[in-house]
Amino acid sequence: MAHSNETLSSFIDGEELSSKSILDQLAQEPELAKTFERYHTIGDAMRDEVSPAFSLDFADKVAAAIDAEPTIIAPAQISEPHTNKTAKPKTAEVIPFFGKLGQYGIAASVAAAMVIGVQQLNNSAVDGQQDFPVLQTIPTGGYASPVSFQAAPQNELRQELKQQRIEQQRRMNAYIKDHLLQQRLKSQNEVQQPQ
Amino acid sequence: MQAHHLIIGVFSLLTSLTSFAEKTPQQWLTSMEQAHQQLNFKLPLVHLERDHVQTYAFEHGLVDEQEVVYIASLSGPIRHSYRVDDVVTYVEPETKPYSINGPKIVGPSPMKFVGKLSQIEQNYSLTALGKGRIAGRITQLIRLKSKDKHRFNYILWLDQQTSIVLRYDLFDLENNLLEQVQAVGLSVSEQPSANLVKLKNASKFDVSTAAKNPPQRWSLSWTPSGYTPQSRDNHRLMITSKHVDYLLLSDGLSDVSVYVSKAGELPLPEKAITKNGIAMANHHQGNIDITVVGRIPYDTALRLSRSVTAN
Repeated sequence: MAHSNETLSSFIDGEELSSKSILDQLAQEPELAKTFERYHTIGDAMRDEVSPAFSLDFADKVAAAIDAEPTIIAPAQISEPHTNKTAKPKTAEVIPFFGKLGQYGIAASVAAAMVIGVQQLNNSAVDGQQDFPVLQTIPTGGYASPVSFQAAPQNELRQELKQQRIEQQRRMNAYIKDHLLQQRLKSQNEVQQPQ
Repeated sequence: MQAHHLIIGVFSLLTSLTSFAEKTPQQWLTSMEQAHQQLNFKLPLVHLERDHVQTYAFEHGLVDEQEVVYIASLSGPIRHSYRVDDVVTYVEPETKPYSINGPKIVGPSPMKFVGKLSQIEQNYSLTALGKGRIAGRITQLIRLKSKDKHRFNYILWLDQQTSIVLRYDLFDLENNLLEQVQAVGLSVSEQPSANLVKLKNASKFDVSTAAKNPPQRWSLSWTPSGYTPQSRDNHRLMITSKHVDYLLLSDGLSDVSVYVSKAGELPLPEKAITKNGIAMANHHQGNIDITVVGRIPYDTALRLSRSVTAN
């Protein structure tokens, strides 16, 4: 472990070690991974990269700010020059976009991202062992597929490691899906965006 | 006398050159834009990505001087979207239909390049590559080669006769094909189709987003040339419900999302690339995680992720 830490330290300091093996180790030893995080924080602090603005409760503040805002959005004033006789009251159609359900609902249609396997962080390393998630998305217009873990699980993978990967894939999927969704939502005309 | 003849000769040579000269790539794109805004036409098309093929019907027309665009998948679950002027409606099986104010349908579409000419000319060098044949028609190839390494390259196949986009290919910086949209037919008509006329008055499912002026806790110390901020807000990610500060950048053809959030327990890999070329760069800085996602070169995403600085 002591040796590992030393190696880890050099790795974080940017020395050209065999980063692949470190990463393997990191993946296999949760304790080492924690040390890695600690070292990184220390390193960042030493390099004065921990900005005071980025405090730990950063996201909590965002959460508080969001919660303070109304989540149900008023219907847009879309003019329909040729009025539709059978048009239902607009409010019935309003989807609370940033209400949780609304975003989930819409998300599902854009949510065509699918994790299919794992990819190595260090591309040059070729040893057949897979390290990191690779994602595949289907375009927004395509069919939606559930998130799946298709790569045959390797027997030697420990359960917790597998769990970690699934968790990472889930989080990465969330970003990709959100990106695809935001592309639609934010394609609004700039003129209509309040300053 | 001889000089006189020479002058006439040069003059006629010049006029014949101009009258028979090929259109410049810029002229091609301009006529492409006009065609896509003015003609009534239908295109069945195939959308290819790695491990993925889907067929679509595409229609464009002017109904009572309003633009109507329709894109529908032809296999699998019914999934279509239509745009009437500036309102885009997505109808998909997983959710209630919803409409968004927007000038374009996001997704594979030959309309992708319309309205983007100034940005295209700013970010790409344009070359006419010669002729090709798509959907049984003669086409002019136009290459959009990025002037830098911050976006991917396109080749467009424009119908010789109408200038409609019959095919476009997207290539990464190593010239791997990421995406191809190809028409398998083209029919141009005097009148818009009955379908478009019907869609013109189809219901819209209005939603709008509240004006958000999130506190600007961070900014980018660097943005790739040609990309400008489009939108900024705070929201939650689906799936994980994670709160993020969000910024969307666009160069007209490519969109990039920048996420800033509280650091997760388990750092995400620095690099991930989807098979269809969406790059993800994760960067850990202090107590925050920065994630950049977009169909752009990974190095650009990486550099963006490192350019987030606290205000």
